[in-house]
Amino acid sequence: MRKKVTLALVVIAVAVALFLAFRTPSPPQPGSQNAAAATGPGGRPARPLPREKPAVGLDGELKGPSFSEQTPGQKVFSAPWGSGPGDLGRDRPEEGNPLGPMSVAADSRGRIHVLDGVNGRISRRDADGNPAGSIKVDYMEPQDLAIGEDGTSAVLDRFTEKSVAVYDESGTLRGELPLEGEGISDVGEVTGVFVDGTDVYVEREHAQLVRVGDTSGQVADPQIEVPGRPSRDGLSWLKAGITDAPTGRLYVTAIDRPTNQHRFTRELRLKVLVHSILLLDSDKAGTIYLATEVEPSGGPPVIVLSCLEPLKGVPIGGAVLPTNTLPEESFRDFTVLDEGGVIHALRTEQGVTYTRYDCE
Amino acid sequence: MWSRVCSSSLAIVVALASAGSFGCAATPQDPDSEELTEDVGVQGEGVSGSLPVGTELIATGNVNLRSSATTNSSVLHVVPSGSKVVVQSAQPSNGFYKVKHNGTLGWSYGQYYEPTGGSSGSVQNGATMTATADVNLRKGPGTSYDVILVVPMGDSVNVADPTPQNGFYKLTYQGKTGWSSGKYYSQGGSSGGSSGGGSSGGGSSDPGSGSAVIDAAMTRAKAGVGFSYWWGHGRFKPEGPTSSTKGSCSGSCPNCSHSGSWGGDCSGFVAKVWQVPASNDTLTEDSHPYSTADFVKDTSQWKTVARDKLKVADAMVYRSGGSGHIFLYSKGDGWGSMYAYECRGCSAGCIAGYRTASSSYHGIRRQGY
Repeated sequence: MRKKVTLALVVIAVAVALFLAFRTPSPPQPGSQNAAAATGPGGRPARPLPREKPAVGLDGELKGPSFSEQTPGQKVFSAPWGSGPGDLGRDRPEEGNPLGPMSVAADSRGRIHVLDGVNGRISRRDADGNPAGSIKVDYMEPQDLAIGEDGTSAVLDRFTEKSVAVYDESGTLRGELPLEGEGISDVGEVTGVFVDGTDVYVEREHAQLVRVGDTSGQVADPQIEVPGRPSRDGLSWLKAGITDAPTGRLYVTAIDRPTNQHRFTRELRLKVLVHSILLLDSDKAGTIYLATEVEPSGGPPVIVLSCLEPLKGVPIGGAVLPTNTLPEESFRDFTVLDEGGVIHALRTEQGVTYTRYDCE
Repeated sequence: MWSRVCSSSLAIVVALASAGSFGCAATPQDPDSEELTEDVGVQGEGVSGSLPVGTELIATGNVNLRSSATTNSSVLHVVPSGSKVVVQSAQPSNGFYKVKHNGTLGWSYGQYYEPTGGSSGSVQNGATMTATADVNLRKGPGTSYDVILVVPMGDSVNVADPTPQNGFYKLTYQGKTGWSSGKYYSQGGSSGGSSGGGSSGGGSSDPGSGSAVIDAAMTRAKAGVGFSYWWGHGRFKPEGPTSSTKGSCSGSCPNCSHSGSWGGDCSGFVAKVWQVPASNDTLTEDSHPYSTADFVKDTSQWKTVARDKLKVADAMVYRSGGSGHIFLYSKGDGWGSMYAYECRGCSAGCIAGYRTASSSYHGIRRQGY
């Protein structure tokens, strides 16, 4: 009798242990990608990888983020408006386009680079947000920035110089890559600059990318085109688009890089008015980040951040962020960290705050 | 006793497992997302035959966009049902049309598309309609009915019954009476023509507005591209700038320096394009009748328009604390960015290109546009 009761208690204990095991994410194993992600640059512990899906409610409906509840982020740093070493520049002409920091990018060391065009520089911060110097940019109105693995900075100027300037880590100009050729019939259609390995690309109409040169400053000849943005795990070309703005239908496409075969097109249905897509990028593990400015009925616009797994694009988490409402134009308010998570730039009348968000 | 203990244990295990399923999800398809594949079977009439470049089509099902005009070519992405594409080449190949979808050029099978626009609702009995694409004339009001003949694009038909059924009109063509989808007809007897211009993509050319007044405005806007920013002015040449006429600007306006006698600031540019007031109708005459302080308020000459209702030649304006900017809207892209014509500032001058605009801006439309 006693043995039977003991056996029953063991069964219960095993059941409880199994429950706890499935409930809690497993710790990363040494040598795995998860282990690599467990500690971010600068020794800062990375946030745990998101669960595959948010919890299922009792009604069986999968629950995503509520648009009315913004996700708490982790402030990395703030910079006031100005021209001093720790400032960022802003210009509001009486009858002209207001400008502020136009772009932001993170490098493989976790440093954050801000394209402070008004002050003619790229302002750098380390992974903890501490000032880490700056390099001078000669362009009068630079618009976008991409950072290579070796610290190369590629700076896009569509309208005055009509080229991409390539600077080395120390800020020495290596060369200028003109925005011309068969793939770039209209510089106004260029929608971003990207660095993948040693290749420098510009994007055309948020679709194909055109290789304009390399990080040594050498102009590409001939130009080649690739079908989308390079994912950071090296495995995909990514594209996204709005199918129907009023109903919030979007799609994300991944093309397999080694084979150039279509891997998936996934439609996301946010069921809310969509204004614009603000981010499409990935981290080193291949997780895809898509940020969309939406306007819920009766509410102010917000940004919905969606994280998708790389094989089928299945959503694995999300976040809700405040959106920029000031008039200063920007090209890129987001950057994705290699380890996962995003940095978002929010402009206020006091300055700019850079906040980290992770998909939950 | 033992059976009770086992039953209780089992119940506990089941209860805990169920509770666990509410806390940790498996990998189900998210009902708020769906992996798209090309639909099996065609949903509508499709398109066939030559179509004017710039024709806008709407996908009636999920359809592959391919790298060339064959099912053996690679898929670039799946065009979601309801998406709009713009025809890039008039002649189909193998039933495939060269189209642009959200900036991506490719080939897509015509049977998965229909023209946008077209006719709907009651029309006058005996009225004339014109086919905007090759379209089937059928024995009944639906695609399940046999085809009598194909009405070629540009040919006129007569309405035999003013009330459509299932979106199909009863029509008479060359002595034959049958039914055709209203999506493929424009009203009136004009020959040819597409059912609408592209609204996404199409290179640097603007979508056709269908309005001569608006087209003329955009011609003026394009003429301004390349001129220098000239604070407090608005004067442009219809043939555009040359190296000797474009002028130059330096410094920070209003304390900037301008050389040359052509160019404008943002509001001078828009006023010239819009020809407001009516007396401001000569592109080559310098004038600056309004600033952004004027444009930001509705008047008898322009009114606020919702951002999601913007169309070509509308403007976006902001004004705050003595500063402001205004630019002309031409088209949107697949990300919600706007292709704009604007005199941006001293360093960039007057340019055209994609940009974003925060909620600080609102849309305005010139009266009569």
